[in-house]
Amino acid sequence: MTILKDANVLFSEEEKSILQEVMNISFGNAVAELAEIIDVLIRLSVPSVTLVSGKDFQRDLANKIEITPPYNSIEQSFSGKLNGYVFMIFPEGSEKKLTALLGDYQEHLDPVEETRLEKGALIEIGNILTGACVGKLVDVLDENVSFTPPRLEMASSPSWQTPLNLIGQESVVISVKTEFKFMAHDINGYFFLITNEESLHWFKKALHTFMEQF
Amino acid sequence: MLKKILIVDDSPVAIRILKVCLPPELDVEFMEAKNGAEGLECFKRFKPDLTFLDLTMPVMDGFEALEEMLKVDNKALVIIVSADVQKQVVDRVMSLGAFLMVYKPPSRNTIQAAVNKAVAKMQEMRVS
Repeated sequence: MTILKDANVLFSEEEKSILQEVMNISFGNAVAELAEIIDVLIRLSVPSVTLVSGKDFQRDLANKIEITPPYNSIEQSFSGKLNGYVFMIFPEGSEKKLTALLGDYQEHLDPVEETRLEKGALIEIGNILTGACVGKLVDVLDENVSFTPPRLEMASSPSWQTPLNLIGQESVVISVKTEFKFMAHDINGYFFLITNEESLHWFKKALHTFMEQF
Repeated sequence: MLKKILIVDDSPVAIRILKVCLPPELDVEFMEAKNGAEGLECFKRFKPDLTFLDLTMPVMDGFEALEEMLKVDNKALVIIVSADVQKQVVDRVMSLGAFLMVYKPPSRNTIQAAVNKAVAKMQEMRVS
């Protein structure tokens, strides 16, 4: 994998640290919103920020997911001054637990209806978390974005081709990863936010503006 | 009265923000730690009058650090400063014995109010 030698020029350690803190605030708010709805305790990891090249992004993403495929990937793109893509990754099997958490689980359903409910649960939870997290992120940075509807991919090896088309092979990708665990329900997953090089300049400026208030 | 403050947070940015939000007239000695384990060691050695503690940290999280700090000194004043604002989290840290919880990003007003409460509590403990 290409190590970006000039990564620190593009995005300094200090800027990564500010982004890490802003993501921590954003995802913290997002899980609180979800916890209000489904009454669960969600444990979060420290967010990690890395810069990778567009052509390595798919491999980088796959390497960072420490759960065995297949997984459920709920994906959503956002656009504005900040353009990017968010992924919520859940392991296979979590769809049943999430359906139960939303109170939609019913016994003796036909398989078609059961799958419909499970997909709905994944999309709903993904939508709440990604919307609240990115919403808070751009709110903290005094901006706003619009979202595409969430899309669910249930595959043994997701291609992540759509975000790659958005980013471009030649672009630099800022990748933010947070792990989360629904305590007492044995559900864990990953949240990724990626944004392209075009957004980088706005992002850097917005992060510094955020810090200037302190 | 308030002479020593310990700040435990893995984010140098969060520490910087917190320090800026503290009352400027404070004349205190600071100590910083970047995870719960380091924070606990500093707590034992430095014996702070007031501790600001993050929750989501590597090595040892803030929940465990809080419990351990209160085992060392059950009257310790520990203010949780966290982005994890889930109700169950707030309930848990308060039941563990945190003095207050402040949400990230903090403001000057919330931090100054928290410090004032801590100072008042210290005076109350000294009298009793």
